[in-house]
Amino acid sequence: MKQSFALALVAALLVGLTACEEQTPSSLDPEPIPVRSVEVELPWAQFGESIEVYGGFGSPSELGSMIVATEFEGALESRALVRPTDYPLTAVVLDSTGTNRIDSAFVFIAGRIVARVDTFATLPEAPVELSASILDAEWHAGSASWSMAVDTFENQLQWTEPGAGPVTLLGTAIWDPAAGDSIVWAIDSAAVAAIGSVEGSTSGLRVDMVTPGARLPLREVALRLDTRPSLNPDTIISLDVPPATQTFIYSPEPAPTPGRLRVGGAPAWRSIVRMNLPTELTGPVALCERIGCPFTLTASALNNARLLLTSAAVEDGFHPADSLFIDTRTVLDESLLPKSPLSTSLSGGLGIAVSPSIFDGEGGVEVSLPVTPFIQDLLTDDGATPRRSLALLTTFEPLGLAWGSFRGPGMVGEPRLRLILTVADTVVLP
Amino acid sequence: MTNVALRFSGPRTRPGLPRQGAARFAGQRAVRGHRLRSFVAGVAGVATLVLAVPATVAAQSSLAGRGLGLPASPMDARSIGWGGVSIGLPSGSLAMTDPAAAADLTVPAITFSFQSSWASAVNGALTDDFSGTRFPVVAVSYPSRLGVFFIHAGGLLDQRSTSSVTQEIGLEGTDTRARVTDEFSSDGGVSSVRFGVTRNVGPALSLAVFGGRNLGSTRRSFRRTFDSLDIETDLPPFSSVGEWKYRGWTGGAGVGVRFSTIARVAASWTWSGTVDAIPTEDTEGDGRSYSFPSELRLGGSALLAPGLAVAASFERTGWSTVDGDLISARASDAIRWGAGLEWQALSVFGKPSSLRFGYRGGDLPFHSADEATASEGALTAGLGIDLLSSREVNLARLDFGLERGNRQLGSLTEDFFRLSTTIRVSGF
Repeated sequence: MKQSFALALVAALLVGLTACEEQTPSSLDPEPIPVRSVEVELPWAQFGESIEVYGGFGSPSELGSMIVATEFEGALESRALVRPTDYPLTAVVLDSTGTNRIDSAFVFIAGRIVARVDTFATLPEAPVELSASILDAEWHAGSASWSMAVDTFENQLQWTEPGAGPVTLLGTAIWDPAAGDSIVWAIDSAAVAAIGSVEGSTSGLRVDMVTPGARLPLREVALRLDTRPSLNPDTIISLDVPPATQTFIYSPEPAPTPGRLRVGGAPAWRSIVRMNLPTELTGPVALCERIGCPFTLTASALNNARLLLTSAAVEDGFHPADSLFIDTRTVLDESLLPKSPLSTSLSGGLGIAVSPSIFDGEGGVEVSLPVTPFIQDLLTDDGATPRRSLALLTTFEPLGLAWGSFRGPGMVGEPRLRLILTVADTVVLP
Repeated sequence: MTNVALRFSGPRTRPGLPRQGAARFAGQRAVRGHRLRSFVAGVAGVATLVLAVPATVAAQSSLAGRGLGLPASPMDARSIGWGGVSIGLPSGSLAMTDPAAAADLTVPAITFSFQSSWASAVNGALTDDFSGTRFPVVAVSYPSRLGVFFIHAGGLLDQRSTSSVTQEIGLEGTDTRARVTDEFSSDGGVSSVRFGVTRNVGPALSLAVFGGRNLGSTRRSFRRTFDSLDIETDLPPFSSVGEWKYRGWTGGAGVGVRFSTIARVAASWTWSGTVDAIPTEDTEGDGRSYSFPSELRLGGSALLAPGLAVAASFERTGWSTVDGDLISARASDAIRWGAGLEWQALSVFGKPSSLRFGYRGGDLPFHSADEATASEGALTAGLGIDLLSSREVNLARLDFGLERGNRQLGSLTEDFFRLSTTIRVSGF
């Protein structure tokens, strides 16, 4: 009995299982409740409260490249500062018997300063001339600026001459875009000794752009030293000395234009937009005509919210040469601004890519930034104090020397808030 | 070995009930204790299955979205195979639709069914294929001196359906156009859990009474998904959701009459009170109350020749009582009928088996104001296998029921194929 029962049951179950993948049937009622989707655009006065611009986030030394420029766009002066690591104490030398041995008594007889161009960035189309010099003063890579060699909490030290001067010129070199990605300055043993030693480097090097109106990003400035080993004096060995720290300083350092938003730069700028979005809308007219006013704005009715900004002219010398990636994050504690912690990105991993061309001339191109979760939090009445401030910043800080500028309240193209709302009757029983 | 399906027997003396000495009485107590534990275990199993019923019921028709849903008759595979005859079949079964039929069960029994269906609907140019599995009925019985106590749990209404429309709309207030998918779904249903007792009164008559609760829940949701939009590709959907729980009382009675060993007729009446749909805390939609209908069933079966029996049944449910409670649909009284033959001359796996054929038809109660009532009909076939019998008691039984049917409502035609399986185990 057991066998026949099991067999019959298994057969029934196997047949039944073929229907276990539920496929819910379609109802005959295609539109069980009325539903409308509307798009409304709120002017600044209807949702905005204030805009603050804060700077000083990060340091040029944290960038992957250094900018050298002179009279770029008629304004920007920028110089690279490099401190090499200590010279090597030993070298592996092949002696006269063909055996590798360690030599610690070699002599530096000459060398080269090698600068590598950041070929991922926008580069000059014509050859440019650069100079290399020995710095004369101590400096701090994380805080150095055009006027200050050291600008930390504990120590402030100005350059003798603004722009990391004075310096001892080592020479100039031409970089031809068609020739490769390296710029080389040959230096003699005296220069090698002046730049550094095995006991520690001196003040380091400064690289300047000589060609007026040119701007060039450098990835690295290193030394390549020629040595004559004591174990095999007929041989010359080259040793690499990578940079220990490097940064760049620039001038001018324009303050934000009043009434405008600024995002980017190095150190980076952030714009904080504080909103005061009402939960009951009495406009705009389009909303009132189509849905009716007053309209109660709820998180559940909100499909999408985007902050619309209009690009503005950027100060000379700081116009973006490459795409600017703009991120939006919620300010988690307004009382701690400008150092408030921020939420995770509202714009996705890399932020919103903005073409540099939108800042050409006077700008005037609209940029749309996603802020849906921020607005939904504002509209959610969960008893907690709503977070009203939104930070606009670059995806990484700093992202580059250039920044983006946007028109502020009261200007043509002031910030606006675009909402897509879906309004439907409540789901009810039949 | 006796086939229960063709046995029109009178009340049977339960073995061991006459007291013939202290030792035997003690043994009976031990057996009763064992049975009681088994019964408790069975009840616990049924309770577990009952709790699972609302979640496991899957939609079986496009019409489940009409009104309060698709009536889900809680028949077992034996009734389904026999032309959908829900009442009046030869006694000794644990049918929810025939409460008096359990009066002849002399040992504890548990039965449960599962049902798989495949359907294809055509409405004008639209077609839809779907399938699902549900558990239409679970039951357990326990005989005692007072009669046979039973618990039935079965589905009453299937409310699971979905509708989906993809269209391009203009966002009002702008020139922007967006492709959206509007999806409305309803998930849930109403089930009934009944506790009752039935017993033989004299050699020919059996009576049953029962009471219980109509239970269930429904979750109705609307969701608008923006498939693509010129201004953005990732737009969160809009959704509106409501969830309600159903609560109501039910009760009723049944009667069965045997005519010697050749025929049996039975009737049942089921009363249902108002079923309240109570919104959950997060639901914005209001609650409602539905005046659930009474249900009357009448049927019978008779032996035509040795090994050949015929059966027929008729049932009427007064769904028009709920008509005034509905907003978006109308409700009409529904009549269902069925008839079929059973032929007991088969052997499957060397076991006595029965082959059944029949046809059932009827109305579906819910429709819109401008529609006539929907109709439903199906050809049926079934196979019952007596897997194990001891003396005159059937201890294990397996029934299959097949339906090939059709539903019609206006321009909608829905063809379905349904396989039902019922397993009954007794004497545990």
